Amino acid sequence: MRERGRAWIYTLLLLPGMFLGGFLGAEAYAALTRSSVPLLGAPLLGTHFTREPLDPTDAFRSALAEVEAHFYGNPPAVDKLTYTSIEGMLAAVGDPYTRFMDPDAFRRMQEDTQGSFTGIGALLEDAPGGARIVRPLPNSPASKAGLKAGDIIIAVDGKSLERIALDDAVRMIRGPRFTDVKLTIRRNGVDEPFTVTIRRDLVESPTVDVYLEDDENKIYRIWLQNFSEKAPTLLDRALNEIKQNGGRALILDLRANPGGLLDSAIEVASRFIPGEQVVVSVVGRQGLLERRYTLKGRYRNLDMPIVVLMNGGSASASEIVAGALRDHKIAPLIGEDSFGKGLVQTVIPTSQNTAVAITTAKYLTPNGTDLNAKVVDGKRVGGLKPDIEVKNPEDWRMTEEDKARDLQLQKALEVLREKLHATKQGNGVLRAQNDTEVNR
Amino acid sequence: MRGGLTVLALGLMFASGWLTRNLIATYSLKRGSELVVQRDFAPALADARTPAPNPKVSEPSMVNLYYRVYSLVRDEYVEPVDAEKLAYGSLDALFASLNDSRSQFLRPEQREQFVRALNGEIQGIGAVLTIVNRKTTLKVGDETAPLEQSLLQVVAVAPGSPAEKAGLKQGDLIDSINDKWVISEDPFAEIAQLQRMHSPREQIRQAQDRARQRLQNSITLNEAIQQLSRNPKDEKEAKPLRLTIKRGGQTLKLEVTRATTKVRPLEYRLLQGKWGYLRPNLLNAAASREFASALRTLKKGGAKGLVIDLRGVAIGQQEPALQILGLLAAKRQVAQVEYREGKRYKTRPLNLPNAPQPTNLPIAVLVDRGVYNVAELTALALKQTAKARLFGMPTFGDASQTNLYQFKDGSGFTLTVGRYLGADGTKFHQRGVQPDERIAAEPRMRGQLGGDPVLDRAVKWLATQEKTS
Repeated sequence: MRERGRAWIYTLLLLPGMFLGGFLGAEAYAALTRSSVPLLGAPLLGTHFTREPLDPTDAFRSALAEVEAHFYGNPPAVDKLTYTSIEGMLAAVGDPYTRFMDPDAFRRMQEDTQGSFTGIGALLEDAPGGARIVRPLPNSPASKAGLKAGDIIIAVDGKSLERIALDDAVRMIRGPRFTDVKLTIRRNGVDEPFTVTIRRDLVESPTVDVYLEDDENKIYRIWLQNFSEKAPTLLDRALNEIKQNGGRALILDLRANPGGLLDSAIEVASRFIPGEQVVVSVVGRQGLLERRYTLKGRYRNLDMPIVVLMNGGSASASEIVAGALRDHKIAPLIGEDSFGKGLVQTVIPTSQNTAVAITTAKYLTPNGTDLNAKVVDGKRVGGLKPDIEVKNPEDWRMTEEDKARDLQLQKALEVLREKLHATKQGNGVLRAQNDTEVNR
Repeated sequence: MRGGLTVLALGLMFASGWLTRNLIATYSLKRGSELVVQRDFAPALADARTPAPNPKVSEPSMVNLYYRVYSLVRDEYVEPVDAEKLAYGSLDALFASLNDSRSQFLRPEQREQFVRALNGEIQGIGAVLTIVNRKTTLKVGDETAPLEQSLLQVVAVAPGSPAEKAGLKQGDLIDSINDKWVISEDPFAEIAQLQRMHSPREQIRQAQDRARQRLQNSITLNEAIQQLSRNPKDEKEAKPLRLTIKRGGQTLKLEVTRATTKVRPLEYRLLQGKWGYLRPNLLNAAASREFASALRTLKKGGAKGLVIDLRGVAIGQQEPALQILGLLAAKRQVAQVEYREGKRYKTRPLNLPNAPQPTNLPIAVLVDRGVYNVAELTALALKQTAKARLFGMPTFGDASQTNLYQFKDGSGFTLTVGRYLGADGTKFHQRGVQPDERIAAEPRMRGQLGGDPVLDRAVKWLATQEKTS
């Protein structure tokens, strides 16, 4: 009896101790878990301002947590807030090519560089009341469904395009592979609009087009529209076609070609430059990173005069090819200053299907010309200078039918005809003009 | 059996100790979040808070993504990058995306200006500015499209400031500074509309040229606020700023210099030997201290009623305002705060820190459109819990409860964390606190009987209260 009582007393004595133990235990646990997060200094009392460097991630983590927990309004979803913050961070770098790609943008980029997307396979342009088909691509769902150049798409799945911008119309037409899209078409000479149902499929995006520009002299123009993975193969096909048809001179048209993959640029340059030659030098933070050379066994030995057309829309891989062809005296450059995007972006996939494109290096032509334009007083300065400068009318467009308005093309034809004429008289091959001048 | 009970009792005790600690921590955290200072591009001593990282909501995966992108840029970009610049760019974007003009990232110098202003040292032109959002329509041809505008507005002008001397008034909209347009709307909105209408290309090109020209000669809202709320850095900047102002339907041009305005926390005196007149110029800690001693002096001097002139009070903090209310209000709960918890909105009472010590004197409060935020809350609380009568014009209508935070480098941010309501739930956001007697007349001599119609009416009413009481 007595013993039992004593035991209870011990227990009672222990109880407050256990309470205290629990209390302190929780406190210690909280302190431990807290120490892993950065605390941002003591509260400010008075006007004493401290300056310690701020780590972007610590700052972002704290701000995001506070906004999520306490912001009065409904904050954007946490992923959107993060993407916005990353975009803001990369904008502060001050380089337009160092950028973040959210899942949508990353997917679109992958589609563009792989040269295929799922849609109906038609080039579209803005037209009153909808989108006009510039031309359906060969073997595409659009051409199989009988769509013709000039048709105007006035509705997609019954939704009118009347108030819809072209970009949005394109987005409505694109969709997952093997799904159907219903297009309402207005066609010249057909009274009533009619409806066509088309199954979306992988479409090879246009890369290479061949035009016979001068039948008499057999001068061909290859319009290379981008440097996708498939560009070299398609270029080979075009070159074969020209050879078979007895082509005698070539215009390599790089106008409005925004670039693409560096590997494709090396492949393309290797078709035209004989021997093992530098195509481009890559200079990074630590100096020369690498030199890219022409690839063995790719040289086509066309044995015909070549000129390159370029304009302000020729960027990146286009400029590498143009610069290499000029520096190695394969072809003179005709047209306008190129865009001036001589920077190497590395696209690094990050988590959640996002990616970041970072400018990790810059490109120099074989002769050492920095391809990148700099912004000076709000104006772009730099890029590749043409050997023969010719400007087209401001409202001229790449897809125009009227070739007389394409002054750059006319100049290229003139140069090549002269060359063909001179070659007949045994004056040798065409050379690029005055290197020192263009290397300024 | 007995041993089992013992273990159980000890275990329960341990658990209750653990729980108690966590309850206390939660409670103090909630209380802590009521500390508030306010965001007024010009505004006392900051109840600065340190943003508390909360791993539950910060989505570690997103923070990891951010860290990965940052370290890639830091290590791989073709030239060395400035970490601070990246942090600031990122936080600017984060807070801008909240679409709340009172939730902003503040660079160190902006945060310093902010805190100095709260302490009564206003830099720049000496006006409290805010961004007001307006929905209007854009007429393009025969069609209209919705257009959102964000206008830079003068909430109030500090007494003795360069802005006051230049004739700037509350409610003025600032349209341009040194002939540069303050961007208040998307100049390309017209083009987007023209494109949707499939307008002729020539027309679109002309509109593009117009928009580009407009943009070329412009400054952003944030740049404008910066220019107006800092002092000149050097001789070159010492020239007065040329402002274009929209007031009512008129466009005016003014020249304003920039210098530090020191605002006296409180002015007071006894009118006609019996009406205590109190005019705080801001609601900060200094003002609340002076208010308490002024009130004692006025009572000793035989005050039979009080006039509290809040007109133009746009700078304030919640805590000092509550201190002042503690001297006048009859109830401990003086207001409510609506806040977000997850996706739901809840309200909680806003209580005085200590038991109220109400005065039994009748109170008249003078208000106008320059009464902003915490000052509006004060006016409404006086009406609802101290039987005060409000004279003048409706107040501004910004009920945001805003916290100020700081990072270790001296930068920081403001964040709207709640919305004030009256003690009975009255909303005043975007409506303003309504006066009991609406009087539009402007004073010739503010605070002088015979030269201040609103004051005259208030004193007349106080006299009737004396008879009835």
